[in-house]
Amino acid sequence: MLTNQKQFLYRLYFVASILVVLGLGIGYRIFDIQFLEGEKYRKIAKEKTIKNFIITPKRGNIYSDDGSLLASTTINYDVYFDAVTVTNKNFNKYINSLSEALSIRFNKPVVFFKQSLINAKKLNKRYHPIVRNVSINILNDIKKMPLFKMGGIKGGLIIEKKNYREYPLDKIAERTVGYERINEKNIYVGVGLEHAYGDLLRGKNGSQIMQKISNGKWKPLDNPNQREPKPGLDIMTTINVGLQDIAHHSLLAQLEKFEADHGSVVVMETKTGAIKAISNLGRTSEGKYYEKLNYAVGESHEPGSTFKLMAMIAALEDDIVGSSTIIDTKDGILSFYGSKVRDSKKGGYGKITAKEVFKFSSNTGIVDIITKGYSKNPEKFSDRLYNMGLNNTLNLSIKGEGIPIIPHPKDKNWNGLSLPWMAYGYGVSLTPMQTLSFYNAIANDGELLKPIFLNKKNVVNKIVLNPSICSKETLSEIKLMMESVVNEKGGTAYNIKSDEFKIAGKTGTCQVDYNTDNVQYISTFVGYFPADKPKYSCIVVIHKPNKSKGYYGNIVAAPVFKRIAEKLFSITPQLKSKMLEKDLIKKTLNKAQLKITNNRNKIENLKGKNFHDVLPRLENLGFNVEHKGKGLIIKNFRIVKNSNNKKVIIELS
Amino acid sequence: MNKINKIILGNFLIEEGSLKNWKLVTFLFIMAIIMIFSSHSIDKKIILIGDLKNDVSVLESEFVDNRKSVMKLKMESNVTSVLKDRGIKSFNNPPQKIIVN
Repeated sequence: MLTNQKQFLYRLYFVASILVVLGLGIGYRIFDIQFLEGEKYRKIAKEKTIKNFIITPKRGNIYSDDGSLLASTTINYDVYFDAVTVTNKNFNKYINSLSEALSIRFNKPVVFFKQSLINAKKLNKRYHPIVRNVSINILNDIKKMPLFKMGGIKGGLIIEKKNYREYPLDKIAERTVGYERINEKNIYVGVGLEHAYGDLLRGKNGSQIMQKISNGKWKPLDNPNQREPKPGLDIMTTINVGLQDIAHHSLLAQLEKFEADHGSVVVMETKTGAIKAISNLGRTSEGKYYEKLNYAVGESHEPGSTFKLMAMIAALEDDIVGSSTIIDTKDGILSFYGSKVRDSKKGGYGKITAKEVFKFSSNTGIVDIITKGYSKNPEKFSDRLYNMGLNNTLNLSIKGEGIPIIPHPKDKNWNGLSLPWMAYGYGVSLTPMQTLSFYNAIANDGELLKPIFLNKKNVVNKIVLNPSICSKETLSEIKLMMESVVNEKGGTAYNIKSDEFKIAGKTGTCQVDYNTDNVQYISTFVGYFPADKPKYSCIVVIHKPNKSKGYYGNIVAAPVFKRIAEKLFSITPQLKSKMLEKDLIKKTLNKAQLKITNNRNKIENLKGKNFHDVLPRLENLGFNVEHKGKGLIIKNFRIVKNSNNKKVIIELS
Repeated sequence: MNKINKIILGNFLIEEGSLKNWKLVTFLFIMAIIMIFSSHSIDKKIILIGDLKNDVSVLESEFVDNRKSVMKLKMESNVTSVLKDRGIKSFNNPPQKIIVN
C-alpha cells in the first residue's frame, strides 16, 4: 500500500516536473516572442496587415465636340474556365449548349469552343482562357450561358477584372486619339491626343495606409502623410464624330477602289483652325486598311501641283504676273539643263492667262512664270515663301510633326533645277496638315491659323501664326483662281462641281519614286467650301493608287472632298426666309392638301392623314379635337357642334 | 495580499455598498459593448463602401459600353448600311430653317 502510494507520488512528481518544464518552455517562448524577437515579429505582423497603398487616379476621358466619348477608362474582364472543379456529368451535359452559346456570342465556329473545352477537361486545366478583354455587357451574357450560370465552383467560371482604356470609335481616328503607356525606363510614351495631353489626363497618384480587415478588405488608417489621388482631367476635343465617320468611310471606300497604299483626310474649321475630322489609313499586306500612322501630321512629302498656289501667290505679290497676264505654255514642254517639265496635256495649252495656268494646272505655265520672274534673284522667291511661314512647323500638340522643306539659294544643294522644280511642287516638302493650314489661310482672308484639337470650355480659341500671308488684292485674285479650278469648264476639278454650293480648291498629281522604273503618284485635292463664305477647309491625299485604275487628283482624291463637303452642306440648316405664323399655317396646309374651311365648319380629306400633322392644324382653326384609340392613321371622324366651340372627334386605327 | 485575494474572490461585488461598483462595472460593460459594436459596424461599412465602389465602376463601365453601342448605332455609316436594303439613302439637301415671327 505504502509502495503504491510512493509510486503514485513519484509518478505525480514526474508528470508535474514535465508540466513545469513545459510551462517554463512556453514561458520562455512567450518571453522570446514578446521581448527578445518582439520587434521582428511585430514588423512581420504589421507588414501583413498594414500596407501603404499607392492609389492610381482615374485617367480623364476624351470627348468629341458634341460630348461623345472618344476614350474612357472602364473595367473589362478576362474569362477563364476551371475544368477540374466541374463534374464530368455536368461537363458532358452542357458542353454542346455552352459551345453553341459561345459560338453565337463570339461569332466563331461551335467546334472551336467545343474542342477547346474538351482539351481543357482532358488536361485538367484549372485556368483555361475562354475570352479576354470583354465588356461588362458581354460578361453578363457569359454568366447566363449553360454551365457558366452555375457559378465558379459548379460551373468552373473564373472572372478576372482589369482596368481597360476603351476607345468607342474603335478603328476610326485610332491614331489621332492615340494611346499612352509607361516604358521600361519609366517614361511616358505614346501617340495622338492621349499622349499630347497626357499631363492633363493622367492625374496624380495618391497614397493611403490601410489595415487588413475581414473579407480581404482594407480599412484606411489615419495618417498625416496620406495624399488623396487627383483624378485626371477630361478633355474636350474639336473632333466631330459624325464628320469623322464620313471622312473615314469616304477615304476608305476610295482607297479600296483605287487599291492605294495609304491616304489621309483632314477637315478644318476655317475661322478657328479647329480640326473637325482627321483620318489616316494605310494598307496591310492583306489589302485591308487601318490607322497605321498619322500621315496627315507626320508625313512630309513633295506636294506637287497643290504648291502652285504658293508659287502663284508669290508671283502675284511680287507683281510678276496679274491674273490676266498671258503666259506661253510652249508646246507643253520646257527644258532645264537636260531635264524636262511637261504638261499633262500633250502639246500644252498654248497661250493662256495666268488664271488659266492655275485652272488647267499647267506645269510649264507656272514654271515659266516663276523662272522668268525670279531667275535673277531666286532668293526673293524663297524669302517670299519663308515670309508666308511655309518653312515653319505648325508646332502641333500631337507629337511627330514632319519638318517642312523649302529650298533656299543659300542651301548647299541648291542648283539650277531647284527654282523651276519648286514652282510646281517638287524639291519642296510639306505635310498634308501644313498644306491645309496654308489653304485655310486663303479661305480665312489671309490669317494663318494653327490647327487645334482642344476645345476649351466649348470655345475654340484660335491661335494666329501669321495675321496676313499676303495682300488683300492677291487674296481676291487667288480665290477666283481656286474657284475656277472647280466651277469653270476645263478646270482640273470640274468633275466635282456642285449645283448646291461652290467649292474652291486645287488638285495635285505628284510623281513619286520618279528616279525608278516604277513611277507612282500622290493624288491630292485641297480646298474650302462654300467658296463665297468659307466654313470648312479640307485636304485629301491618296498615295500610290493603282495606276491602271486612275491617279489624277481630280479622279482619286477630289470625290472624297466632294462627299465630305456635300455631307457638311446637307447637315447645316439653311435659313430660308422669315414668315408670319398665319403664312406658315397656310403654307403647311396647302402642302398637306387638307381641305379645311373654317367658315362652314367643314372638314374633308382627313382619311389616311397623319394624326400628328392634322392635330395642330385643326386646333389652329379653332376646333377642339378629341381622339380615340391609338395609332397614326385617321380612320374616321365626326364633328360635334355646340354653341361655344366646334368639336371634332377622331378615331384612330 | 489580502486585497488581491478579495478582488480575485469578487468581494467588491457582494459586500455592503457594492451597488456603486456594480454601476461602474455595468458602465464599463456597456462601453465595451459599444466599442465592439462600433468597431464591427465600421468594418461593415468599409466592406459596404468597397462593394459600392465596385458597383459604381461596373455601372460606369456598363454606361460607357452602352454609350459606345448607341454612338455606333447612330453613326451615318451604320444607318446607311442598315437602310441600304430598304432603298433609303442619306439626304443631299440641307434642312430648311424657317424663322416664325
